[in-house]
Amino acid sequence: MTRSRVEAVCLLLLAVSMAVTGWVSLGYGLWRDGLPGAGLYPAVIAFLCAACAGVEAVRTQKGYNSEAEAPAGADDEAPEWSVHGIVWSKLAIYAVSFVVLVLTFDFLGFFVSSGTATLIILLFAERVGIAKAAFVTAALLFASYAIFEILLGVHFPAPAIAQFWNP
Amino acid sequence: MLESLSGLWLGLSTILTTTNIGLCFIGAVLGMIIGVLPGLGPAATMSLLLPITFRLDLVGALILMSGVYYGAMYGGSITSILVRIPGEAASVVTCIDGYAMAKKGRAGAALGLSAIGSFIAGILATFGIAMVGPSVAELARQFGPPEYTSLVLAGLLLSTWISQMTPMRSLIMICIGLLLATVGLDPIWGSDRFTLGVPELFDGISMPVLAMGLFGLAEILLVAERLRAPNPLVASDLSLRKLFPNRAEWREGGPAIARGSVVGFFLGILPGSGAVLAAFASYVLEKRLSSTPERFGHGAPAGVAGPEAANNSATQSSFIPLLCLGIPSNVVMAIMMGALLIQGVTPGPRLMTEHPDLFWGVIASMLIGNVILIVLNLPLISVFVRMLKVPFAYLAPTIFMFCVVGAYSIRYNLFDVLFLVLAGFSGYGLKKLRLDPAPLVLAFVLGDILEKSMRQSLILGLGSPAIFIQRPYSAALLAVAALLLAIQLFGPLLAVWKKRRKNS
Amino acid sequence: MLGSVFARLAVLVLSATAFGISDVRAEFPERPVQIILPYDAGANVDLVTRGILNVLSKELGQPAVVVNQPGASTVLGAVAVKNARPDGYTIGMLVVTTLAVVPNTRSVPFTSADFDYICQVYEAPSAVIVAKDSPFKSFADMVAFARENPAKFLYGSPGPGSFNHISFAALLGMQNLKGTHAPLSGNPAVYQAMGRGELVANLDSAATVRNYDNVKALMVLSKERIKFLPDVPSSGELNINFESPVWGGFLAPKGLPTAVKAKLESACKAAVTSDEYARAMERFSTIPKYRTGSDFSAYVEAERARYRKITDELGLSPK
Repeated sequence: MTRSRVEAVCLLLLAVSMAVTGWVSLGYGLWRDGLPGAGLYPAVIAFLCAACAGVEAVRTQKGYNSEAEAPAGADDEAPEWSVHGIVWSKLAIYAVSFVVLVLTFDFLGFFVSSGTATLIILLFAERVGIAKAAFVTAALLFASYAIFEILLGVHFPAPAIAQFWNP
Repeated sequence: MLESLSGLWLGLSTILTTTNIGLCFIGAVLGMIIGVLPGLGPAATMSLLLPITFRLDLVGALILMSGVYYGAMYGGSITSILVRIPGEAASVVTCIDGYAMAKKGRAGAALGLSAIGSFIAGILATFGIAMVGPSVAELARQFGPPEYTSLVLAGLLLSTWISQMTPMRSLIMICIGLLLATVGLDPIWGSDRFTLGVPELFDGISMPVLAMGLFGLAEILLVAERLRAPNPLVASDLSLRKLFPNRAEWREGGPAIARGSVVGFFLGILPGSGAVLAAFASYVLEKRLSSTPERFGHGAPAGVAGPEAANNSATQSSFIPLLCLGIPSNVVMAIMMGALLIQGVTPGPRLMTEHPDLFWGVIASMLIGNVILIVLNLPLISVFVRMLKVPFAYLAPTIFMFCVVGAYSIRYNLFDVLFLVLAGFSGYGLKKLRLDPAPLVLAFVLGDILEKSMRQSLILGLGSPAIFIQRPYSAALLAVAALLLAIQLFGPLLAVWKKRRKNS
Repeated sequence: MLGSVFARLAVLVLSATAFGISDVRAEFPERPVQIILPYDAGANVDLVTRGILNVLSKELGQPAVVVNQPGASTVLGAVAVKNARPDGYTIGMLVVTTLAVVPNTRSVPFTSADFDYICQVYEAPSAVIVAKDSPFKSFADMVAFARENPAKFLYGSPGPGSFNHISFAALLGMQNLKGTHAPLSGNPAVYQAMGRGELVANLDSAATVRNYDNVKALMVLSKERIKFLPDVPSSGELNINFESPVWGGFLAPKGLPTAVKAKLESACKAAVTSDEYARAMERFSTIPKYRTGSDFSAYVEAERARYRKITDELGLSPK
């Protein structure tokens, strides 16, 4: 599949999801007591967006090389647009660490879960030595505790798991 | 004129005590720290300081708190430039060209432009408040929902200019931004929209969290996908002379600072999110006025200097409605009002005559505070730039952790952390689809105001849209919007026509 | 930065020296008590809460600190209290909006069974407020105008379904008036619009008249006149049987240990009935009001039922 086709498919998906959003907005009511209802504005925007994304999908598929090419002067950004040279495993580990943090933040509390996420990145994505990784993680956790909890008074929530052993 | 100078003199003589200058220093430094940290804004810190102000005299309390507010504007740009994470909501725009400059090895120049821009804007705004404060306060009084609607419409028409994308792609991003802004409780009927029953979403999506994800986290992923992360600073010279903006950068940045200060001053007076709007407005203005608009988004100095000047200027001019009218224009000003009320002072038009030492003291303290901040900031530039030499392997988890804490600390909300990560993945996807998130964020900011004020206006106009053209400011702004629309629609047509005539 | 740290240290040292560290150690509280407040700093409720902190800290022997957690018309703050550990170290200052109004206008993720009521802290009358340069001299003037110009009678509120909205709609309903509700974005926007003459009136806590320079009160909604607005007639003397006070009190997550609850209750009672607190409230034009936990709980139920009736009549209750 060529790059322009991938883009066109994504834009098409966007168009469909926007159309669905517009459909949902219709349910919020378009007009009420002589005034615009809760759904009018989002419905208008969503359908407009769906139309634009649909048109753009067709245009991208047709004329990727001529018109929609990255503007001049963008060569410094070229690597970001190309698929070549992406290390998928590394990217995936980063993504996993983000997801791990989100899933465990409530249950394990900020310190354990963000420490785990940091360790995942350092050990598996960046291949840092265990000792170094542990040191950096500890330093980071201490720094965020010192800055946020002590200095700025941000209260981190107690981890949900804590209530099991200390009622 | 003479009056305001003697007022400033009175203010200066009131605050030139060790205690007050010390408080100004503490406030400014604390502001800079929270400015650097993503997420956490001046409001959270000022509410922490509120109990301390009970024990201070009123002038000192206000000096301390206002220092936090404008100090945050100095700090906010630093992370925007270095790692593309907006430290403050008002520094989102700086992520665009500031980070692009840093990637070219001009991080020091960008930091210098933003610090000096903030300083000049701060000084200009202070004199602005002193000279015309009370008279422009009337502008704030007249600015209601209809005026806001017209202003935002004009802004929305400008927002396609913020990006290098084709107008169609900009329009798609603008629509998504506007839609994201509708998440939450309906402003008129209170029914919920797109919240999926999550109470944390009733107040809508948090703008700093959205920006942190779309810009910052997405950038981490974009760098992380490469085997060896490129270090943008490897080539750059860290000598102090090279670190500062060069002559060409000054030539572009200087006028931008002047214009940004003025734009920021007026938008800051308006109630609401003045500083964010001011930064965006200045960016679009600079791009429009520039002879090389194609360089915006790729490290144009004016795209850093203008917005940074504008947000500092707006921060300071947002004191005008509180000090001159007794109306707090945002959460930060509401806290200041609380500090005044605690000590038995009702802010309002009489404040200037009944408590001149207080009124002028706060204004004069801004002069001192800005001087303190610039003296602190310039030497720190080389320190901050050196921080970029930290390998990406360590930088990435650091940025990530601070983003997570930052997102959480804004509303003490676990949901915001989830949304941060979602926005990060979306930002990465958008970049891969060659869609620029900048118009989305701008439209999100504007959309929040647009729908609310449009529907509120209709109620205030008793159901008739005539209210938008009956009120002078609103009508004038609508005319501007119509002009912008005409330029956008007919500009390309005119160009085509000219070309054809030339050819024939 | 230093200021904040110093202040915390100062509070710690002061409270430690004043009460002797050793003998308080064993019992509750051993560390500072957090008070979750569902409003931004600087809001009137925030000022009132801070007004009681000093006294409460002394009574508890440990500092009490405010944690501002606004959002979703105070619902998020209530949820935070509900989800906190019931050890007494996290309590909430919840108010009329949270406990009596919002549960009737939309579905909320908490019920009164989720809380242990500690005590009521304040109760202050609300007032009918108009612009200072408004032509109305009395409540009767306003009613007459509203009767003749029902479409033009715009009343403001900081948002749909808010305390101000529901209460004013109820008051108008009692006079067989309807008017048009204009929900704006927060209180400052309401008073700004009022200053421009866009809004005719609104209902808010009587203290507002002191906080904003450009408004006056037409009628205080209480049986008798209040001390800080001596010239404003009360609804009682105008034979209008309508009171809509703003109130608030301390609540804890359900399941407090008995000893902890007793300690919090006694500390709260001493603080609310103290002279220092009364003096502080005078500055914010609010009136201390003490009710025991169970009385407060009964009062909240009564208020909730009263608002339920209003929202049912107005058709604002959730489907």
